[in-house]
Amino acid sequence: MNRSIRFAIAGVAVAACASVGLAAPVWAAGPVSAAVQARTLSAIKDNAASAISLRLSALTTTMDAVKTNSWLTAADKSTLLNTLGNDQSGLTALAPTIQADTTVVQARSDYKSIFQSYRVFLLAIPQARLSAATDDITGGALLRLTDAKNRLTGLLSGVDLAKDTPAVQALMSDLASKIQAVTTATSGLSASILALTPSEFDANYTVLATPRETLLTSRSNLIAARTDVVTVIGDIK
Amino acid sequence: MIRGRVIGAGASALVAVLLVSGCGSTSHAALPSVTSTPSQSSPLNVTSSPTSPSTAAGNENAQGQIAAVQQDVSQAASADSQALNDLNAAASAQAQNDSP
Repeated sequence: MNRSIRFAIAGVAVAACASVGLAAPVWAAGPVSAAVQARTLSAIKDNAASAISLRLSALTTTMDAVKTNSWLTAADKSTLLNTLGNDQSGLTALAPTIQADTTVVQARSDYKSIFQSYRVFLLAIPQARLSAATDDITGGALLRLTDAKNRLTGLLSGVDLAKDTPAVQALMSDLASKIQAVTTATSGLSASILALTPSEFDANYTVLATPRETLLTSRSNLIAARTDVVTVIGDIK
Repeated sequence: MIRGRVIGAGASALVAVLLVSGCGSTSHAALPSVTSTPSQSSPLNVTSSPTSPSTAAGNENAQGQIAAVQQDVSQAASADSQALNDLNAAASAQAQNDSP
């Protein structure tokens, strides 16, 4: 907004000079303009180097997290590492391109692509982390609590039949309900997150909001399910 | 994020309660006890608990099932902790400036 105001003021000044028949202002003369251009170009290059370095570092951290996540499926892990790796390669190649730019116009265009072509912070990293969170839930917590439910069901219909009280039955019913809710909510979620592209994100900045809410709700359901399991264990021991 | 932290704290508390409440105890293990009673008429009077062999086997199996369920709960908590970590990392990234 400040930049717009400055341009507007400059525009008015130039128009005023023209309307009263004055020559162009001294500061708009060729040699000065070239110096400004050079400074601007240099500043763009400095900012670009900094922005790329920050993103490469964040991508490396995220890739390390993906590699060490034991709940991610092999397929999702492969897809994420491929996507993040491509971003790393693209940004690494872009850095010398910008440093070699000779005009402000070209440098500005390349500088913008650091953000708009990759969306590292707004899409790539959240995409990786939300996909990982989905697998943490589906391949970890949900899977283990489903196994717990099945084992408890076996006990309550067998050796612990006498302990299958209405209170325990209510807990088991809630446990089954929570597990079903999470199973339904997370079905296909990881794939849909992984399929998002920077252009899709630019068309809808809130595209990750719904998956995030789904994951938060699923976590809450699984925490409640865990409480159910622990309570049932206490009741039948 | 605040909500996530609260939930995370709840999860930690849950695990703590699990541990403190002794969910790892073995009350299902009603194993047959063998006791020797000093008796002059019977130098070695061996008595067994009233638990029949088949019931004992069932209890041993139940004990194993409970242990497996406790393992499930522990692993579910671990996976949930990782999910919270990933959700927070996603939120941190989105909070960064990503515009030219």
